[in-house]
Amino acid sequence: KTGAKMAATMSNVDEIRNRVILGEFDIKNVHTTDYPGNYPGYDDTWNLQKFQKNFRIDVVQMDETSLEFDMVGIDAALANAFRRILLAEVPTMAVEKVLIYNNTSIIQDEILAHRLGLIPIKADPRLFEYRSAGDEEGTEIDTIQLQLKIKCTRNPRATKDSADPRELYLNHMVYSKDMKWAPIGNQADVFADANIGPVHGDILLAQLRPGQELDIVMHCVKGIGQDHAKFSPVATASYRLLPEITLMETVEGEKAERLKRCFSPGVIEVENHGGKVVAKVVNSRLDTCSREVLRHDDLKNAVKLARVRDHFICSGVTSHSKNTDC
Amino acid sequence: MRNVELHFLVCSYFLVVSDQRHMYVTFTRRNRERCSRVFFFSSMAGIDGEKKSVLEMVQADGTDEGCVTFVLHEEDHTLGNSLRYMVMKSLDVDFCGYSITHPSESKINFRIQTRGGVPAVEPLRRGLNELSDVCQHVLNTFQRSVSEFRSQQDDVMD
Repeated sequence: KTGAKMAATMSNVDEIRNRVILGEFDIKNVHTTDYPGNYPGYDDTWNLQKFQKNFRIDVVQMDETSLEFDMVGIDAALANAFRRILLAEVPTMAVEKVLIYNNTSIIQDEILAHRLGLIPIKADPRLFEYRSAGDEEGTEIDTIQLQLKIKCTRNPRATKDSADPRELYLNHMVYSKDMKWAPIGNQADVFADANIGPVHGDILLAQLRPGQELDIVMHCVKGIGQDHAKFSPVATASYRLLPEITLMETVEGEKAERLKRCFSPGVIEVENHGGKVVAKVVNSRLDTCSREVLRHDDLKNAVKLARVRDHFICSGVTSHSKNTDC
Repeated sequence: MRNVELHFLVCSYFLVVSDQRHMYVTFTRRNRERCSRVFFFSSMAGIDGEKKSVLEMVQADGTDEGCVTFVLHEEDHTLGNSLRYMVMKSLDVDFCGYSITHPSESKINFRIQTRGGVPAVEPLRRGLNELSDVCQHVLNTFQRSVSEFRSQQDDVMD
């Protein structure tokens, strides 16, 4: 599907069914139309075996924080449902109740509590239960307790005339690594090897000066993104359709060079065929579909821009450092 | 008053109504719809839980069972659009659509009109089952692909 097709294009009906056409002023064939009865001669009734045969998932890239994969053979309604679920209905643990015993910093209580809530917590939500409604205290099965106790003092060893706060004060920057886990009940045994705490230790929470201190206890509970965005496990989850670029006529010479510049780098390559430079579509997946080529009058009829309707390139970035299936 | 039993499958992330629950029917009046028969299907949540309805059926007077509007509570486009797609893919559905009544209320009106005298509950039930099958298959395929990718990466590193 990424190769150059200078041969005959597919029939009109197939094109309406399978491709979203990017025109100069509008986008055609956006909606799914392959319902039973719409096209005579096509059997569009739902068939699980046919779906299973055509469906595939190819993981392109996966590491600790991001995942990119292709879903082929599924409809936009379902792909969008999966994206919405990733954002809003996959549970995580996050700080919900902040008990402030002492806060003499200049960061207001509620601002500090808001910042603490947004910090991603490294804990597997599948090992915890939801807190039952009306339960104020929390039990060991649904709550993680974290503690932040820090006091800023003057550094006795600083030189007399330094102006650098890093030298003058101790503990003047409060980072998320200062949040320590305080196990309740039998959590110390159950989660002995999973060190529970914030995922990233270098998130700046507050700045202090000598004499100011923070003494805070936090309760983390399990929640979903629908309730509050802090519970969303993904930084973002998005998908795009696979672009398809077809050259309707041979483009050579200086026009080929201009055509290459109209697309993202790597999409169109210019090759030497018997003395003449000819443009060829190499990898349409890299294209961002800016439709720049349609702005040039002499090039716009040479190219047909489309997207494959059932091929989704999905990517998600998580801040929680676990890329297991959601 | 008619006793109708509906069985819903448990699909994780979708309708959280477990199967084989006993449901009961109560009467109430809805001025907006001018219907004579409104059925409430509630689930009994625990021993003393409040009765929160998950699904209601609204049917206009004089029509047969083929044209029904279902009101699904605590749902949004996530279930609405995907269920609409699955129901539209079945042969005996003439019309299927959903709408969100107001963005502040989390409920959707899901309307099915069938042809051939099929009761509208049939395509709904089938659509939910098929949706759950699709999601299960996608999950299996995804897990397989991820483990293949991981083993590929390990081979490369060795």
